[in-house]
Amino acid sequence: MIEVRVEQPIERIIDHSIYPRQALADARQAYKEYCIFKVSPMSHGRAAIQIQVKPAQVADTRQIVLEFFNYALDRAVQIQLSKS
Amino acid sequence: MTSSLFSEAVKITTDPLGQYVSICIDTTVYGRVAVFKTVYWFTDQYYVLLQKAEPESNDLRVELRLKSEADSDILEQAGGEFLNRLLDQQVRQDVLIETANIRDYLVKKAFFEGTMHSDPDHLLSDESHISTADQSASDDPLKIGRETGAPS
Repeated sequence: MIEVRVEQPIERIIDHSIYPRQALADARQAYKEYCIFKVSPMSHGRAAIQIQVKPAQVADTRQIVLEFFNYALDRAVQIQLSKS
Repeated sequence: MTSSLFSEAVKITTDPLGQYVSICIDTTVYGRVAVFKTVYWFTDQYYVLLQKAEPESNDLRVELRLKSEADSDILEQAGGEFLNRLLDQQVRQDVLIETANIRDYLVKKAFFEGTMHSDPDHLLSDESHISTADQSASDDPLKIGRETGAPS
C-alpha cells in the first residue's frame, strides 16, 4: 500500500452534473469520522471540495481520500442511472 | 484505435496522491450513461475520479489510480482496458435503444398472455375423460387395456 502523508488539505473541483449534491452528502456522512470537509460553491455548477484527513489517520491519507471519491462516484452513478 | 489516438486520449500524470492515468472522453462518441456504467465497474479495482475536461465543455476526463503500488505500464494498460470497456458499454447502449420497441412489445405480450391465463375458465383443465362414479377401470371404454400388435 502506498503511504502518502499530506498535512495540507487536498482540494478537488467537482461538477454537480456528475456528482449530485446527494452523492457528496452521502460520502461526507460515510467518511466524517476520518476527514474534515469544506465545500465552496463555484460557477458553472461546480464546487471546490477540500478534504483534511484527521491526524490519527494521516498516514492513510491517500487511501482515505481516494476511497471517499470512489464512494461518492458509486453513489453518483446510482443516482444518475436511476434518473435515466 | 491507432497509437497516436490512444496517446492523445490516455496520459500518465502525477500529483500529490501519486501517479494516475488520465483518459479524455469525447461525449459526442460515448454517451454519459455508457461512461457512468463503465466507471462504476472500474471502482472495484481502481480509484476513479470523473470530471469535466473543461468547465464549459461536455467532454469528460477520467482519472484511474491503482489501489496498490503505482506502475506506469499497468496504468497504461488500465487506460486501454477502460477504453475497450467503454466502447463495449456504448455498443450495449446503442443495441438497447435500437431494440427498445421489440423488447417492450415482448414484455407487453408476455403480460397480456398472463392476464388471459388468470381467467378461471382458461385455467380449468379438460376432465371430460376422467371416469365418473358409475364407471370402473374394467369397463375400459377407450380400449386402453387392449393388446397392441395383436390381431383384432
